[in-house]
Amino acid sequence: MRAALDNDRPLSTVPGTPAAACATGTNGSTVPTIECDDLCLRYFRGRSNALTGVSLKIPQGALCGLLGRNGAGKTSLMSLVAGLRRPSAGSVRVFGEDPWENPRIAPQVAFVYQRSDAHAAINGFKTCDLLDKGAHFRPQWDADLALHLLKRFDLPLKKAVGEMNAEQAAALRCIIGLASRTPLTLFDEVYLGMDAVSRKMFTDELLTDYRAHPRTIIFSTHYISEMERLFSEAIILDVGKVLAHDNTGALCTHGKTLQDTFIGLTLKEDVTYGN
Amino acid sequence: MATEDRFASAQADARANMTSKGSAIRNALVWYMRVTKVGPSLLTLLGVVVLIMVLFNTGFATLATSSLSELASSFLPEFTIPPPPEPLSYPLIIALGNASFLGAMGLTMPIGLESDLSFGLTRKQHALALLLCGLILAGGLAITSVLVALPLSQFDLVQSSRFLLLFFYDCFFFLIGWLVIIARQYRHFPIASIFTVGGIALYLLEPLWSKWTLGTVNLGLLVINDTNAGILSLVGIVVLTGILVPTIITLTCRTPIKV
Repeated sequence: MRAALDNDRPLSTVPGTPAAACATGTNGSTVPTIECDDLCLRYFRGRSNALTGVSLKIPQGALCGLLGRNGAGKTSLMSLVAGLRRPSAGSVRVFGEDPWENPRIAPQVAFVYQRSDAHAAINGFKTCDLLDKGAHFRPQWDADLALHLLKRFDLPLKKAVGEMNAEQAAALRCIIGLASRTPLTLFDEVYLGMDAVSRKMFTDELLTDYRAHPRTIIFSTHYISEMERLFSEAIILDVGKVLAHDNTGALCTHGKTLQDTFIGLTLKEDVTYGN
Repeated sequence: MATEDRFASAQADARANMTSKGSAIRNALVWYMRVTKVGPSLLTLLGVVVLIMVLFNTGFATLATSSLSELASSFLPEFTIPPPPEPLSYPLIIALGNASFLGAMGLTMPIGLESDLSFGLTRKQHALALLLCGLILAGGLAITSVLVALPLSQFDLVQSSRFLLLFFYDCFFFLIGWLVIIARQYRHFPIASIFTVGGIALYLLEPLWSKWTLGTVNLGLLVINDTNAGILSLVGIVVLTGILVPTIITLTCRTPIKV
């Protein structure tokens, strides 16, 4: 039975959760989940800088928002963390190890992203095939949660991926990401295509499952005002650089919301945050 | 089995396998075999083989080869299609080509590197699992075809050796096509089918290219008459595959995924 929790209350204010510990800096984790040191990524034979000098640490159990305009470097950062690419310079470590071609780290990281043609090869698969795949490939896969979410999002079990509309495809991505229950889960604007009701359902389910099974979740989004209640901390990127990385309490001082701080920093307004 | 029970069973099996080394590849292989429906593919092969044997035994082969020979001769005066020595071996070669095509189609269409990476495999694990699946399918095709041929064959040594050699050529081209797909992350069966058709074309054009390659097939036949054709061909394929596979896996591992 899934407990009904007050999912409208910001997670960082709920005592006893890892997110709250992260928000106040008292989580006591020793090995960060993610550690980037002067990370750089260049595309097109070095002509385009996707990331420049990114250095940050994300502690275990954080529910971290990754914010930035289009082209800011959010997806590039996530793809490096997930081991899909190698950095041009600097280093990235996940649970203390290089994630590139690492059979110990790969099963512990789920990267769920939105690009439609990434799944061209699986258009013939049905929902049940992909749930089967999750059960085979993911050590922490929760089949009960996957079936619960299928019913919640009203997603048919026998529907082929190629026949799904945008909302169903987004729901399937969310379900796979949540049911994988990996120690590190990366959601890259995964809910695009969902309406507001579905997004609320997704965030409620994410919070419920996160409280029951704490883990590190990185969540990139443009819907900042809608999603900021999730985050214990946030990273703000712009033009491949980190503008700010702090717990949400520090980023939302002086009466500002996280969105206000994000817009102000990105537009280079005179924004102060922190205590 | 109810859907929920099926998922719970799959999860329990996967977790039981996950503690042992190589379990990621084993789990991937089990899943590939299930979704690509290897069993139904082999049954389809049997149907294709029987159909082609029926067609050829009704005289279709003679009509087809004579038409092809006339067409080719108009462009290449010296060209001759080697006639099928017996009604059985020629359609079997065609059937093997079709089977390889079916196998490649069945395996390449649903499988993608990006999808596997997003489900927690590394590139090496993805490539090795796919290669194992391809080898199992090729082996299954081989066994199925031989089981069909054996009860009906009345080959003499030269014809059976020729059949075995060309059979391994066909499987070899199937594997080459498959490895290219792994290396280049292609998701479409035409790539593999090109190699399969290439194997058949190699057989049909044998009189032409054997002159250029000092009669490779004839040389092979000389050896085959004295030694076991199957072992020789198998050794050749294993050696070539043993060189190609590490190279292609290494190439695959360097490939970044654009998200």
